[in-house]
Amino acid sequence: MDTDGAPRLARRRRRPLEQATLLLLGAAALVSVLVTAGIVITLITEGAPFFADVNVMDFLTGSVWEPVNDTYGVLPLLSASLMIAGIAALVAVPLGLGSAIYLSEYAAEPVRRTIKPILELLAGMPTIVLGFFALDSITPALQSIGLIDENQIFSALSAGIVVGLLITPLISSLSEDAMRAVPRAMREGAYGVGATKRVVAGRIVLPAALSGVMAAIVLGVSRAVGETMAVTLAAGTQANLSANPTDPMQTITAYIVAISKGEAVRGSTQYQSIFAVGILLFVVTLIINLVAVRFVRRFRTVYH
Amino acid sequence: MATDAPSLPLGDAAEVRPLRKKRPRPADAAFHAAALGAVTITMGALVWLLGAILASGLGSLDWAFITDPVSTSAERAGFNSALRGSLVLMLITITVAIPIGFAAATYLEKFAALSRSQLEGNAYARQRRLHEMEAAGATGFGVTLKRLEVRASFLWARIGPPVNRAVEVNISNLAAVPSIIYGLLGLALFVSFVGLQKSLLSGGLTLAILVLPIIIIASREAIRAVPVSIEQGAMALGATRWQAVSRQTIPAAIPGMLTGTILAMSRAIGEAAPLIVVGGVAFGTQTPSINPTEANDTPLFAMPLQIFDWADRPQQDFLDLAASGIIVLLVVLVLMNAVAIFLRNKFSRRW
Amino acid sequence: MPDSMSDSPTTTTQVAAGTGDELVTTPTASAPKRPGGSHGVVFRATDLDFYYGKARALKDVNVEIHRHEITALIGPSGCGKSTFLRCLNRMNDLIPGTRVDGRIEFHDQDLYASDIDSVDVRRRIGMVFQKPNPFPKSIKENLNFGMKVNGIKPTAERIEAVLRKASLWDEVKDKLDQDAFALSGGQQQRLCIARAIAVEPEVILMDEPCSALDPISTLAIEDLMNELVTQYTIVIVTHNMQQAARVSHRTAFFTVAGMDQGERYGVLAEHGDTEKIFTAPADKRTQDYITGRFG
Repeated sequence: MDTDGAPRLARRRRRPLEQATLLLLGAAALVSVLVTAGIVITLITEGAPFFADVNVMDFLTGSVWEPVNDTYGVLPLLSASLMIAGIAALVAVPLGLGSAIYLSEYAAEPVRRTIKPILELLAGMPTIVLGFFALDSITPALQSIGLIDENQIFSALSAGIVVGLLITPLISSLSEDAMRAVPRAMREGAYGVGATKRVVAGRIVLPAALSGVMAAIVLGVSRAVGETMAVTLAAGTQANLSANPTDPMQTITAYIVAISKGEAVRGSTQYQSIFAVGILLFVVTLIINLVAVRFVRRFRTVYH
Repeated sequence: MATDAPSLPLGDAAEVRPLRKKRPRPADAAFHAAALGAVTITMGALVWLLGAILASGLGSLDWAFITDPVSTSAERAGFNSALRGSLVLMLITITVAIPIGFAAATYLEKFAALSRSQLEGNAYARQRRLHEMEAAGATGFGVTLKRLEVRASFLWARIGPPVNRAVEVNISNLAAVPSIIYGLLGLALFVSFVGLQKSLLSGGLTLAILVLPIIIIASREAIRAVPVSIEQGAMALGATRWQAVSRQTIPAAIPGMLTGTILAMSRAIGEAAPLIVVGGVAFGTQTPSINPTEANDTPLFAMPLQIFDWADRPQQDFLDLAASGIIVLLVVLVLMNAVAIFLRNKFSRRW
Repeated sequence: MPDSMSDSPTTTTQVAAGTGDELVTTPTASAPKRPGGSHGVVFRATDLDFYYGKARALKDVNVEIHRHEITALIGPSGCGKSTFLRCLNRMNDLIPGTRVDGRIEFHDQDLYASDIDSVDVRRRIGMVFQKPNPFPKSIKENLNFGMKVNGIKPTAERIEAVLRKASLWDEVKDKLDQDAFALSGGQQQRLCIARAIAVEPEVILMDEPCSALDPISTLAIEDLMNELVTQYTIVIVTHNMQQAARVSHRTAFFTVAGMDQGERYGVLAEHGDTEKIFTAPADKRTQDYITGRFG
């Protein structure tokens, strides 16, 4: 190699095999887009015929849901979904936020490292397990304190409580991440002027992490709205427009399960109706998720 | 909080006030107690849940429960059909989701980050070579192909970056779609449109779509954890980008990618909602085949489906069976997580 | 212009103001002798500009790099010396949004011509990085990889020869199947050099190869460079001026400019024989930098 007549640099080579591989990889990434497109297209094509039979306004504003009588007013299902999500939030926000504050501001590192995986265990619990827990333990407990009737098995309250437990670790984990992202200098500044832990946590860290915490709560609510198995088991299968949380109710998701359990023939109005309520569920959760994305983005612009 | 304001004016204090003794602060104590209480209640609920399940389920949990097939009688009913069904479902899900998920993650993390100007650079380079070819008087198929290639690469320079960005946003949105919606997709796509049976195959494919975004997100994180210097080191030796990524970066990321995959599978194995939508709840008493090639002719059995079927019945005996099933399901989940943690600890590197 | 450095005040100041490391093997900073053989031009950069996105990082660089010499690129942080080094083997191609204007010739061929294979460029012009970056595999596999992708058969003899060349053989000959991460930092860096020469490059680019290493390992690498230069052309970026003075035959001094227009890019202030740059710099900025008044 010690000659001045150095060999020429090679001309650019085609590497067709590599290019084909890259195209394949790109195609795989495109599958995810196809999934989204698939969801939208199938919901619409399978659900659209439903609206040929049922007026959209009647569907959205009707307060009676009786598929056997061809009466499809979705409000009972929607209000049940939202009420259970609301109860879940009432349970999960204090528990999740309290846990997050404890883990991020009070707990020593070894304690934190022990508790976090245990909470994650709860987050990874299949929802059917929580439905069982509602039937087996929460409902009897509610009966024994007299909140619901001795003979009543299903209630929105029981379902809401277990869904709340389900989303508590989600809220606590995301909120804790947001709180820990608050710069240490801010905390130290407050401690330096004689603030106590409570003041630092409540007036410095929490406001600073607020959009992250809000995102966590909103994501938790979105999860609660889409939750299926726990609410099917615990809240019942009786569509019921009621403001009383101790009543049995049927959510959107529980209705889809109830129809799917039987044999709904393709083309029947019942088959189409699960796609129609599916569209509603998809839109509702999408809106909630977009709100969460908003919060996350605002949080990021502040600290990252 | 310190409520006593320092006596003004500040500065030359006539006498030095001694430091205050510790004193109780009720508001702070209450706040601390509330935060601790939140953790305690949450953990207490978990303990209660596990205790309740063990209390109801241990009684009917024996070896026969594992080996007996499904039955309409509570005494004879076992979990075997459900276990077999879940095994086949997981095989199908993994087989479909891993190749697509890993490939998509590799593409998005390593090849999708090109800017418009860089893509245009590539396009101009191709165009120059086309001009060279034309100047040399080349004709025929090769030149036509080249012309198409140049046009395609200019087009891609324009639409590629936004497309890639949209794909990324799309994936994180998909991960937040309720699982029952995937069930509706699976029912419409695999059963109504493709014409598969309401079977283990359509159920497994539906779960594969469900876990795909989770696998992609976790794999991208694993790939990102491998330093770029490894890839650069490989390229500095005359490896192509693809060789560097496929032979150095990806092998180094594989343990992390597998860990993420196992965690995604542990989500899939507990999912009941999409399976019910796709396949209903099977009441057959036949023992499902564990041969994946017969999956399309095998009705949908799965652990969470069986648990749901039992828990949905009014008799206490079936409720106890459901608890036994839950114990088995939780044991499987714990094992999967243990494997994931083992993988992470065994192969994780400090770069 | 003094021929010998012992009577040069600049050099005295420089050694005294040094980091106090004992590695100054020669009493003066006199550059090493050039090895035999031809010293023709390998690289010629002409009016080279470099951009990261819209921001200019290098402006109007004109320099030649010669065969069988060690060329040191020195200068303050952010002066673009590493960027320039990475232009020489088209490593910057890998960073999205970068652009090269002007021309770099490698043996009179345009390195950035559209029909040049950038993969072949990197094989011919090897690179050693600032932080040792062995592959997370065995020592042997680290060496095999480059040979395999270049179609060279990785025989045991070849591995031994390469490791001997990199002065690493005696330390690792019994543990070739061991994980490369188990080696010390200095050994890892020599493994990276071995890995680079295993693919028979003509030039080795070194981007601050000793900045992550202790003084003993640094000495070993410098000795190694002195041996390697008989067969290869070496370009080294270094922060350490003693190192530049100790090992290089030719030095190029980069500095930061453009601040008065609100920009910040690197320019080549001066280049020439190391001895001249260190003893009689023509440029005021070089002089300030070398005497420690700046940077």
